[in-house]
Amino acid sequence: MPIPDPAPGEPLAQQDEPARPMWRLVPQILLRNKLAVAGLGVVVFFVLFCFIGPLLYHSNQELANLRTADLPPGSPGFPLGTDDVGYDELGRLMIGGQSALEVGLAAAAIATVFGSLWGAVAGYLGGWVDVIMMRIVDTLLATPGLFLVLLLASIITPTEGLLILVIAFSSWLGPARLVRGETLSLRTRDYVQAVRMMGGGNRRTILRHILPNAIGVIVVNTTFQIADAVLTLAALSFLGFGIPPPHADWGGMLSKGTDFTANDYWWMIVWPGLCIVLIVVAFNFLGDALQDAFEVRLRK
Amino acid sequence: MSIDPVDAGRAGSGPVLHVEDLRTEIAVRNGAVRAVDGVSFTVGRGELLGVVGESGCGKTMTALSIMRLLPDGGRIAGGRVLLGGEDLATLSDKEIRQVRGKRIGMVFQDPMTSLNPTIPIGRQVAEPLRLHTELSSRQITDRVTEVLELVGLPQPAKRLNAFPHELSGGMRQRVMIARALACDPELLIADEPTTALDVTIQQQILELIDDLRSRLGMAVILVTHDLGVIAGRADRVAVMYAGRIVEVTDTNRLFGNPRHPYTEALFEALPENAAKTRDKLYSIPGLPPDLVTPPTGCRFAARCRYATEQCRTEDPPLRGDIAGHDYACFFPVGDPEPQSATRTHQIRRHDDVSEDDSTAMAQQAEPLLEVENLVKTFPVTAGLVLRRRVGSVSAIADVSFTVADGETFGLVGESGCGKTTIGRSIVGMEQPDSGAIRIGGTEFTALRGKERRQRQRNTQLIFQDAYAALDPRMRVGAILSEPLAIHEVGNRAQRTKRVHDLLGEVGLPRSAADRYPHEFSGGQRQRIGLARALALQPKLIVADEPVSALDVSVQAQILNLMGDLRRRHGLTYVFISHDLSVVRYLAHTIGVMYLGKLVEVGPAKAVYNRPRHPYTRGLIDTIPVADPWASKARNDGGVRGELPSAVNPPSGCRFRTRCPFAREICAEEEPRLRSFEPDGHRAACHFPLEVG
Amino acid sequence: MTGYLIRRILQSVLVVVLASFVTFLLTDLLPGGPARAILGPRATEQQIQEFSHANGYDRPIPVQYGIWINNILHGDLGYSVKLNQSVGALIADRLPKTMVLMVISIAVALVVAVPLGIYQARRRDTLGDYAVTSLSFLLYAMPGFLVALLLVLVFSTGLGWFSPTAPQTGDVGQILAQGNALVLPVATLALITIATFSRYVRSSVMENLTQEYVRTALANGAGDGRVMVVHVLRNAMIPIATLLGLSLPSLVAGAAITESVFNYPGMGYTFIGEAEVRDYPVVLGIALVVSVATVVGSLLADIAYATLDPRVKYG
Repeated sequence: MPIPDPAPGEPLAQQDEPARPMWRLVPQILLRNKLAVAGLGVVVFFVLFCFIGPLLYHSNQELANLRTADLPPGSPGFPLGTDDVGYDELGRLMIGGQSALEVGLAAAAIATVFGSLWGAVAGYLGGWVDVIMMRIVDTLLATPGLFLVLLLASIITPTEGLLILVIAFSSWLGPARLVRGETLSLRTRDYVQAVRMMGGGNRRTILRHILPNAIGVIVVNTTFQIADAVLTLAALSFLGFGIPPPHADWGGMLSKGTDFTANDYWWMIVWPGLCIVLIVVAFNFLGDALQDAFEVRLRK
Repeated sequence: MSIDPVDAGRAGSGPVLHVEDLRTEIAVRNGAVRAVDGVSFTVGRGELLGVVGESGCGKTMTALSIMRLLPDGGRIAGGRVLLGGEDLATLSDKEIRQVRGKRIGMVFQDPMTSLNPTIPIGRQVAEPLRLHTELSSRQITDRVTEVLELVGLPQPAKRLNAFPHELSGGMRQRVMIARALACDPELLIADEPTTALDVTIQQQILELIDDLRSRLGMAVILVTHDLGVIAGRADRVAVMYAGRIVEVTDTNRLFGNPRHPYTEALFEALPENAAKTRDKLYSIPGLPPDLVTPPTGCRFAARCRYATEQCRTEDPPLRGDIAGHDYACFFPVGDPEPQSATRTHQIRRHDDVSEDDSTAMAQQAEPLLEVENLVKTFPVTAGLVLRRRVGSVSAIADVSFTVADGETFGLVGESGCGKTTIGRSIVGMEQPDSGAIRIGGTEFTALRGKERRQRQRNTQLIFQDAYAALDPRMRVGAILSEPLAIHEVGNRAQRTKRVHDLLGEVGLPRSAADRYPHEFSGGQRQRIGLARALALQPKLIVADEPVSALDVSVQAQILNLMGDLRRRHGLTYVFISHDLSVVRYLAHTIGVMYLGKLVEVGPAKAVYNRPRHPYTRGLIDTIPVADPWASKARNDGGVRGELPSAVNPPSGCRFRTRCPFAREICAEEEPRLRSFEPDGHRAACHFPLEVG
Repeated sequence: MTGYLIRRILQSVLVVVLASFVTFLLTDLLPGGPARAILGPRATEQQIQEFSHANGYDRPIPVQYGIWINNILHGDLGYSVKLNQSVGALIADRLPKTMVLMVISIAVALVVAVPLGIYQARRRDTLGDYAVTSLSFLLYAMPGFLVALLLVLVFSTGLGWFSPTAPQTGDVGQILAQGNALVLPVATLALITIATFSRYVRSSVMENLTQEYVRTALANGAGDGRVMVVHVLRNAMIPIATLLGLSLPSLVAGAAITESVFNYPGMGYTFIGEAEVRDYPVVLGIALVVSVATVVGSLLADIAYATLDPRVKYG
């Protein structure tokens, strides 16, 4: 049973981190974490796989060819098998990943930027502004994200850009709450108060003191956002609300796979599933490791 | 009541606890910290042993080692811990659990975090009984009530279902003590039991511990960094440094004739010892040694003013000349043959504060700061979302005082008295509800915007927690030049130069500008805070508990520095503290606050030597002094009772609920500050103390 | 406490009303209006206008909203043309089925996640912890439908132990009787819930293990077991209780996806199905019910927190 540390006053061991600014220290700590390195590796792999891959590995994704349909992995010319209309699985995976990455990153970026600004303003200004802004957030949170997203997706005809907006719309609430909480807590820190006491104004306080200290939370949250966005896109595609075929994406591939579970065409499920899981796990690892890295830095 | 250790041995069947060459290590990334490195001592029945030292000396680790409660990565690397003949260090986990709570009880520093917030106190006190005895529920409840009464908790039977947060700090600590004593242990270990408490409560708790040990015949180990706490209560004292005991003897002998240079240096660093002459405090240069690879030779040699080559190469063992006074030094200081067991060391009289400064100050100088009828209340809200005002805390209730140019005004009081709020109001961080604050003749509180910012240059604040006051993401150079940037002082090159000058003034090297706050020690960070406060060349600096979180030797450095800066720049200080001994050393004028009211104010000497207000008297009596004779003389003083709620302060005189002289009029009419002497000494009391 | 409750309930009502308004607004955004969606792309302008007028779709939005709310308060949630059923009846039929699925899944999840989280916290940084954490990570990263599909693939197609579709018809009693068919859906929902819950339990227990009151208990002679059960859990479970309430939305979403894979006729399945065909009365009705559920959940979470934590005072 771990025993709590002794009373304050007992110093920690000697400082072993030399003087280095945060933007150099964090990658250092990050790279020490093996899971983070693995995660980073996976992400890099997929970027290459999805964007460079199709340039090197050509496959037919336009014309259906029923003669090559439903072939298991290992069939000549189709290393990972084919789907029910004859498309090559491997090629489809590569192209399918493009929208996952694009939508994931873009939606997360928009959600984070918008949500963080929202939360920072609400948290910093406080008072009525805060109450109103946060009530809006609470209201939107009251409808479960998926339902909201489905609702939106059912209204519009999905294109990639619209999907990005839809997913971002349902996920900016998380960062907003988070950043607001962080801002509220930072606002009461002595060093922020010291700046105001010295005569510093709002702009200086937010830009130079609050935001840089909240960056940690924001960055960590972004990686988790990316993971969630990929999952949401997959869910949407799976349920039929994604971009219509012949566009390829992993969720859509899984949706097709559902129809054939009884036939035991397992490859239609396993490959896209594996890709989704790997990407999401990779971003989760990165997020967790970043969290640890920022925390260590903040400790005395 | 001190028992001669020889007698203690004779009375029982030997000492209660005998620690022999204890070594404890804590694993860290690049090795192991030898936190306790060869510590031996004995505690007898009914004896109180004080273990004293600064941070990192190993005193807490020693206490935890006895109980085998070491943190992750800690282990006992050698030695024996004999409790009545049984070696605790070699017991199995199951066996040591039988000792904890039953034969040894332990009290920790912070009762708020040391008690489970979700379990009623009755059940928590009952826990050791449930674990170690076969008593029935009924019997346990009876015993719990009995022991809660023993520790002075009022109406214990009714409080059994109370939760810790419903009690005050002092009450919680009493509950902790009750919990430790429930099974009537042979030994009580108290690790900084009063550090988190107010001074007046601190005295009550120490008295309780003292009383209990004589009643129950327990042995007590009291671990603390505060020499004053030890002086009044301990029978014997062990001084620790860098994981070792460097001096151990009975209290009178230690204070009267310290032999180890470290002990001597500690005494000289205490502000109370220098209060009369206002000399510079002795500050021990350097830092404690690295305990992962401790130095060969004497561990204090690098910082000792008497060190020789031998000291640096050979390690002095702990041994003594006379029976009972042991020290580890080749060239001890003090008197090798003291005439008697009483003092030979020149203890300066603490009751004499230097005469010259204070009165002259009060009469001649121009007033720089004038606080007039200041009032500030804070709303108390309940509920999470629609926060409603359920009451208000009267933080400052009509306070007025004046601070002359170049003087140091000490504002003293316990928690909740409003001193911090006043400090913040002076620098403009809080807006008072009514009243005026004038600095250099200009009324401050009504200003807004640019004018206010201009005025704010004249007053700066130093925070208690130096680390929290510095943005961890900014380099020191940027932190120091920020005030200059905000007020657009000079160009870049000029600011850089100014930053270097400031660093020099506070005794830090130029290279400090490129480093981050977390790379500095507590004392160094406070220097940075001082440097930043000086950047805009203010006239007035408000220092809010600037040294409370620092070790004695570091505290001395900072106090010296503050004194130097004051003389060099003609600064005026408002020094806020709960520590009357520090204030006494520095201040020309002292103001005493209680629950939002200024109850007494006047020249330091007058207030200290001839206090008029019963609270001031009580405060003076409770401040622990590092002088065993003086301590014992005032052991009957102090302040009874608990601090009333600030939301509903008592009517009339706010102190009346704890005042031994209170009468009806005290509840009806609020006393005003009245003058007693022409020197500006005033107190607010209907029945002020008589001074002969 | 009652004052606080009343205020919270009023607030919740307000939030539900606002949420419903937002939902209502969204459905009205589509081009051509709800009439086109219901009548289909081949309807003529004439038919659309008539239909719109007959159903009040051509009136200003706030008026439509007012009418809708008014109907709801009278118990009328609208009528689904596509399914030829009143929305109220539809929901009354589907809601209990979803609840059965959710309640059983949550119960299973808790029973597994709490001990798992405790185990991870105690054996921090050991092989066991890493193994379980990695597994949790994996589960966490899998979309619900993937878990469902894999389970079907392995246990249904592969091993043939369980049926790949959930009970289709009948009331709650009949559904429960077909236990075999419920196993995979429950397993799916439970697994994804376990992943999240055990992470939270782990971090909450870990945080409490480093608290000072643990050291006091040890100093009294308590053993590890007693410290965990009597002291730590009592504090660690408080945030978990609130977590339960707050995770209701994602549980509902998870249930929806699970239902969709297994063709289980619950609320989520219906919502998705009707959303696909733009059956707006149903979509609105279910969205409203789900909003209410979410808000109720968060209310319950707050109440749990206030009850369990003696430090919290709600004046």
